[in-house]
Amino acid sequence: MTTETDFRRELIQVIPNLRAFAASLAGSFDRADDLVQETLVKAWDKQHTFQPGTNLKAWLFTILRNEFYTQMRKKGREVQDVDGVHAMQLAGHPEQQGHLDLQDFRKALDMLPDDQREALILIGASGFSYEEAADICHCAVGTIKSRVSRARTRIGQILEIEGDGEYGPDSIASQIIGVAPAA
Amino acid sequence: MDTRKAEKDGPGANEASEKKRDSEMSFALPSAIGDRLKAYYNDVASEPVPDRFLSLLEQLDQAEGEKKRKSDKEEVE
Repeated sequence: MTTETDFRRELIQVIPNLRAFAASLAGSFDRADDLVQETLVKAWDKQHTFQPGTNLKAWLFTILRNEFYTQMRKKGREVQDVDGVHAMQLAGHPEQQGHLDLQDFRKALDMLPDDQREALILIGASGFSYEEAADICHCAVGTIKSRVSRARTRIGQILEIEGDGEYGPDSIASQIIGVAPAA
Repeated sequence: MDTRKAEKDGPGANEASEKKRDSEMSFALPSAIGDRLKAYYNDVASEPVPDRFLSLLEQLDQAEGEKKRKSDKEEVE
């Protein structure tokens, strides 16, 4: 019996996204993959609670996020980032050597409060709607919107302050002007 | 991959699509940030699924299959 069940196949499809989300939460790749593993086992155990036809990706993200915060509470502050350890660990990933641009961005992302970083990732990278992100984070849609907005402003400030012009106000402003001339 | 809307529509895009674009973009991040965010994310998300997860799921699947066969058998007996 080697037939893959649909559920298994669908889980596998979401794993790359789960890993990326986990890495943004956990700050180290080892920890991120442990988190993904826990998530897969949990998801498997409670697959009967998943309603077919609903968003499996959002369901899995919710499990992963819950798992992460449960572990955080258990381990206390150990999991929390201390003075950029988060950024250093991520920067150590072999795939990312030499990506200076990415490292700068990662550092900036790292300076955000956890809830803002999480909201920014879910909306800006994972491709969730505000409604889905609100479900995943167990908060109101308005809360997600304001977190994303604050995160965006803060990242813009950080990159501008540390910027070498490349990230500066010009590129951002031109996007805004290009998009909304009336505003 | 992401074809810029501006390029696609050209500078003289009509008013309707202009409006549509505004409402779409009000939900999007400025691309200077948005592009880097996606690059950061895809750096991990574009990696192939590690074997450890594939074999984990295979094990879970097999264990489940055996459990099922067992309980089916018990029902018959």
